[in-house]
Amino acid sequence: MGSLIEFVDLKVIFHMGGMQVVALRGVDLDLRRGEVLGVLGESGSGKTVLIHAAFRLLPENAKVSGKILYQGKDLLSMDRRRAMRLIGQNFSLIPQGFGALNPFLKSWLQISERPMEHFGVGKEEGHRRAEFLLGTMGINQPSRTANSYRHQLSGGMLQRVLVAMGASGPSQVVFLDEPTKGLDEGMKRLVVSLLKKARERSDAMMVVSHDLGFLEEVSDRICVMYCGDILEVSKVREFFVSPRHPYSSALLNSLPSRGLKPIEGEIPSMVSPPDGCRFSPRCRQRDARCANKRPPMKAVDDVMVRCFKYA
Amino acid sequence: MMRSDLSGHLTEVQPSPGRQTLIECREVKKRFRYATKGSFLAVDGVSLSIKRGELLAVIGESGSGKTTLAKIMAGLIQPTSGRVFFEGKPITSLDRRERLNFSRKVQYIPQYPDLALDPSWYIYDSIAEPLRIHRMSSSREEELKIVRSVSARFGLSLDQLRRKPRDVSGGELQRAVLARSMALNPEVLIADEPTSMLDPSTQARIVRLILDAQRELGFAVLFVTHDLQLARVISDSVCVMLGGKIIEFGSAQEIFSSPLHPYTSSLFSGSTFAGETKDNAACPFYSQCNLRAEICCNSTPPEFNIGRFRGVRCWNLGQPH
Amino acid sequence: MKSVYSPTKLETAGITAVFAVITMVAISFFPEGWFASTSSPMPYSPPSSTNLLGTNDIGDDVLRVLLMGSRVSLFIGFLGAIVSTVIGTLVGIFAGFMGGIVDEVLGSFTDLFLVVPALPLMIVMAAYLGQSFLNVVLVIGLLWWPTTARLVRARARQIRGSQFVEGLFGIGAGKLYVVIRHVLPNVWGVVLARFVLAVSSSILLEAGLSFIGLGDPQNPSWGMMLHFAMTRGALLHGAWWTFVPPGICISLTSLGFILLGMGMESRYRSRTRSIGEIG
Repeated sequence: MGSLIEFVDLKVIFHMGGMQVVALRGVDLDLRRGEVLGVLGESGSGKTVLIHAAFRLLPENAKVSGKILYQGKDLLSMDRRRAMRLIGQNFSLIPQGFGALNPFLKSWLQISERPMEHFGVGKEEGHRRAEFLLGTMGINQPSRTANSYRHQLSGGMLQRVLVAMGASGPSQVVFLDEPTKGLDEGMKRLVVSLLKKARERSDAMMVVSHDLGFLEEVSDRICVMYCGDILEVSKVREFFVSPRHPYSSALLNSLPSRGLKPIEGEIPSMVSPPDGCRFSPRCRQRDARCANKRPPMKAVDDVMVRCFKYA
Repeated sequence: MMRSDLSGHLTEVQPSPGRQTLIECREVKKRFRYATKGSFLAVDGVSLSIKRGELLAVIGESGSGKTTLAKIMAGLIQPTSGRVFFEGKPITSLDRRERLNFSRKVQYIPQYPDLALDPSWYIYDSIAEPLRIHRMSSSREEELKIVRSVSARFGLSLDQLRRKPRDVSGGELQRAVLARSMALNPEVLIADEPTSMLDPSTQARIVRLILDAQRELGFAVLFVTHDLQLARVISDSVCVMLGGKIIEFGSAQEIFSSPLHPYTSSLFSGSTFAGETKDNAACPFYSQCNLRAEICCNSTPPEFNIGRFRGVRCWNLGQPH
Repeated sequence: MKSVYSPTKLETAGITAVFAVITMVAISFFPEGWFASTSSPMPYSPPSSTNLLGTNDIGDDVLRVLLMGSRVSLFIGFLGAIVSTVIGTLVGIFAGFMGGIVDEVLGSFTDLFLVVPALPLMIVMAAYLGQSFLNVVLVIGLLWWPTTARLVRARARQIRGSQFVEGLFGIGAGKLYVVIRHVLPNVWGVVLARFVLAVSSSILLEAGLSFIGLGDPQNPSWGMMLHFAMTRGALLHGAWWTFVPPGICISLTSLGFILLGMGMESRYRSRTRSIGEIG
């Protein structure tokens, strides 16, 4: 399996009125062909920044270093216009929440916007495609949905429109930003089944979420982020059976089905994060090294872990 | 056969007879009228009671009317028909003092913590505010003492109390909201999906705090949620809502080990999808039900009571198979 | 995180202009010999070392009249703004918070005032009420509140619908309590910005009324100076020093307040945009 996208030592620092906020602290990650990679992180972990960086959507005050390699070309150092074309033609994003839909546009226009913009698809063809896509997603009257506005559709319909937006063009990589935030169980299952359909139409997917159960169902590999750092990358089954990093196991134990044990302490403020291992102040297995030095990424039987326990 | 099994099971988990009912609603309906035209029946004839010290979970998907029901029980919305009783008296006929007493003893926690406190107030003042409204502290020092102790219970430091809502995280805010309602020493806490917008570890912390406080102070909790796993772990008894009706209720143990309504079992097995179908069948689950019969479409199933605290609204259970 | 107040360029310009006017008012309280000669030489004598801005038709020092006029203009500006802001805030809060029939009645009342062209109505009212200082204030105040009322109403409605207000009723708070302790502090930003903008408008309106001769001749304002220059032949004499300075003063003052108010408004918007957007 070759990698499709490679993040190499990606650092993102936001400058906010004299303060520096390190959103990503040197991220190394690869997205492989044919896989669904789940990026697991709580609020402030930098998981959304990762997506925004890949789409070059970061605001002006962000200082970015490192590389994002797509087919061997660095998206960050490339000329902006060329990068945007490459991104537009090969990546697609399924945004978080229905707020991402323009209330003044009919849904088919939003679904087919990307093929019309980047692949020269005409209006009629775009309309036809949108209807077809909605039809494959189990909508009984796709033409009615395609011609509706946001406020005319129910939650389940909108969810389908969102996924259709991400699956409308020939895209190699589909990114999803928190697709299940605030959704109930039935809706989550709908998203899971829609993703399985969308998966057939793309080479790889990257799903960002804090919903453990959802990621367990949809992804092949899990990457755990905390405070701008990747702490663990492992196969999904491996991860849920035997998590390596103390944060991973603590997070799993906070699930209702696994005892509902909260992690001590607070998610640290991004303005003044702890030195060394970002998780160390809350970690039960910390030792003297943890507070001072950032642990290196170590491979432990196929699993990458950033913890001194394995160093 | 199934039923006799169940009733045998029931005797051990039945709530103790002396348990006093705190809030009760009878045949409550709520119809929302849209500004343009048409209306929507959010809650359709629900009767429910919260007993002292219990944790009652209301499970349902979005649109099932669970939030509306919670707000009706908290006295925040007037039902279109039906009545809500507090300690045996309908809350619409409480006099000023009793009304104040009700608003002290029944606390409501909303889903989005970021909108639950006045953005222009310091968190300290927001927590102290209920005490001031109910004149529960005679002096500033006493108020500070109460606020500090209740905040400490929920892990809030003085530094956090000196901030405004936009300067703290969602989890901290939700704890502040909890502290605020706990300052009044309530008897019922109505929590409307208090953790659905929070991260998993934060959720665990908030739920633990509620459970610990409940164990210590003995108030009753109405916990509205769509998280089945969570409901299974924390609740004593469970109501399942669909289409504005309670279609099944019973003790948590029974409901989760042997659900009777086809909707409940499909919810647990994960075979339902988001409820897209809105037809006019009498049973809200009609269009997706495997066991549907003609009667399900034509007349609303009544509540079949099995044992003393178990009820199901499904024709399949009312008729011999 | 506490942010230090750092004004934008436009706000700085606004603040400078406002300070300049306040300085003028302050100087006008100094003993007269301080800033102008009290001797009255020839009418319409051009600017000189004794009369820095020349004299007017009756031989008064223009600088002196200008400084005295700053008092009147600013005073009327503030008083008119206070009256209109108070009315607008009260109407807006009640309409927005009570909702229902109260909202509808107050809303259509507001709309009525909004569609009636203000200046002609003011002229009629001012002519009817007679030329006095208080009447000018009253006319401005009574006619300038609807925009404030609309903005405050929108904000109050938003607050009324937000969860924390629902929660407040839940813990037993009364309506009046919620209005005073929670709605007012949250509309305060809008009100303050509208107030500053209203100062500017009432200075302009007063100038307009005075210019067409409906001001108070006992307390000549900048608008009155223009009026006298117009009616008593300063234009024919080519005595530009009698009408250019008050014109500049009126423009700069109202511009200063407008810039300040707009700055405050956008600052406030950007700070509170997130409320009400969720849910």
